[in-house]
Amino acid sequence: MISYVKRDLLIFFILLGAAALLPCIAGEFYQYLVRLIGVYAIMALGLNIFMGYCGQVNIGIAGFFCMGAYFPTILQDKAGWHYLVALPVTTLISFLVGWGMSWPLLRLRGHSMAIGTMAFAMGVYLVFERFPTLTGGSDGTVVPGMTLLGQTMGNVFYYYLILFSLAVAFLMCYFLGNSQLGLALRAVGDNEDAAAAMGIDIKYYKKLAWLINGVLASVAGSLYAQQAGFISPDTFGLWTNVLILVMLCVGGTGTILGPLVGAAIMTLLPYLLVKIQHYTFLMQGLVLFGVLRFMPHGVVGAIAKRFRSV
Amino acid sequence: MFQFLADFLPILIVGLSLGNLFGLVGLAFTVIINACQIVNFAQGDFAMLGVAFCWFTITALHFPLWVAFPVGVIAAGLFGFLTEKAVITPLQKRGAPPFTMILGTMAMGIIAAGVVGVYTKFWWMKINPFLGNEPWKIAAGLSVDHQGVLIIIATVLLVVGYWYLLNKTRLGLALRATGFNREVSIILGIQTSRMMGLSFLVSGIIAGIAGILCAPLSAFNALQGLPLAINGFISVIVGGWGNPYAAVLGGITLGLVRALLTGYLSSAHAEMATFVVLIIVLTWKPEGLFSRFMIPGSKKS
Repeated sequence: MISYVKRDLLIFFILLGAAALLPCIAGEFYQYLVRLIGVYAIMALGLNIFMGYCGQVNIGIAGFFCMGAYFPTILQDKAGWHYLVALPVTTLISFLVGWGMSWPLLRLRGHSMAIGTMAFAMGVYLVFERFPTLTGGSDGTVVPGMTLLGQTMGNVFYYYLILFSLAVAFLMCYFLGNSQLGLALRAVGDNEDAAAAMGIDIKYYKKLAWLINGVLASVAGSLYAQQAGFISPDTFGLWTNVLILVMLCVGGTGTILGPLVGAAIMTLLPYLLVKIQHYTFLMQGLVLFGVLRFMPHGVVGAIAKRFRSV
Repeated sequence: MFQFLADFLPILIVGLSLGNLFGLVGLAFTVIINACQIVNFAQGDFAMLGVAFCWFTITALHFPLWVAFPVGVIAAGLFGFLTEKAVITPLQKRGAPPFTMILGTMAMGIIAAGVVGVYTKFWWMKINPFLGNEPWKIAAGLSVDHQGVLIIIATVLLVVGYWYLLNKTRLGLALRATGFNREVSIILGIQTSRMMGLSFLVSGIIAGIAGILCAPLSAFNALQGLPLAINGFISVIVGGWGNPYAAVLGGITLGLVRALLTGYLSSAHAEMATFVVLIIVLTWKPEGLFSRFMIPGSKKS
């Protein structure tokens, strides 16, 4: 078991090193793709804690993503704050909102939880769409650029910022997954009643997993907005929830590399099919269907199983 | 007084028709929930597929509406059956967790939306109102849109039909038994897999009818399925889990809240009201507002 887990860490750092060297050889477009993958992977990692480990259902991750994207923009735009100040404040706001929402949402189970979290995301989406004076409404708003030490930061800076955040998020999830805390979360996910009988405080661990998932999604949102330079509510609509869920499921729930692989596959797929744009949606459906039918533990799970059996 | 009535009646009709639409989708959800304890997130896409086939038959094949309507409904029903055979049975055999089921049905929905989207280029599928564009004039300055009235009539017929199927036929007894306890039903000789297929077929047909009736009111495109499904599922939760009549009542509640908000306050926040109502119901009455309505063996509420 230990060797498998260490191998995951090794693979991640090889990938991260390759990504860090990418700006030297590849153009802006490839950097853009890696930035997107990084942002989605952070979100999928958070979702993995809540869904893969803790066994709950969350189809509302885009709600946190949306808050994370809009609050720093508003704080920079209207209040003139610096991005590096706005980012932690936003994370704190998302934390508090998540904490408040945990009261009604975490009492639910299964399908009710699915629709409850989805309603939360739709509520957040509508709030940001329907107050145009503050958020630009459905037309979207321009994200102000960021200056550091008197210099305007370019895309390469955001690229490394996202890689750094991804590394931090990955290490956090990795050590959390292998700690006693992760064990408790998995116990809750496997069987709540048995976990309660073992003396595990289910409510506490569920809330913890929910908050980790919310905070990571919020950070991902802040990074996304800053690197994109422009946000509109469409980015955070219903299909984003589904997309992140699909990423996690395609990569493999409950595996640490799954979110990364899933984010990469689902982000790159539309760009591989850019010639036949209308087919993107169909392809995503077919990939999800194929993975669910033939790879119960996602792509990572299927590969790991192959290697173990050899 | 008359002015109040003239304002209020159209709002009421809009609310009722919208509510009945949500209620029909909720009923379609409940059909599957009762037989297999599964929430089918492709429900809206069944409706969307029905609309797509109906639209295709009218615009590309130039058939009249009375041919196109059954074609769309049957297509939706068959797609429901296909979903059950392609996703639900294999996943259930494997003992997959509930959210894998959700994703499985969602995958079928995305595929349906993708296929229709490829054909229509995600453009609107326009179906003309069934009885012409002129609204009924009840009195001077008081007119009613008959598409909404059609939805209400269809809902009443479908609910009565479903009630008859469930409570007065042996097939309905088998359906209820399958949902109540699968293992015991198998022992008693009920072919549960056939019952599950049947429930998806019936559910697809109901969703197809709902979608095609709604298509003239609000234009449908390939991506419109999931929002409809969410509204339908919210009416299931608001009404009461697993109770078909409660789902329709929950839908009507939602529709009326939305129409009243749109009519008397502003349309901007009507959509949000749905989610606020949902969160309130989930917090204060998680079993649903009408959960005991018409269930035999329990007090009426």
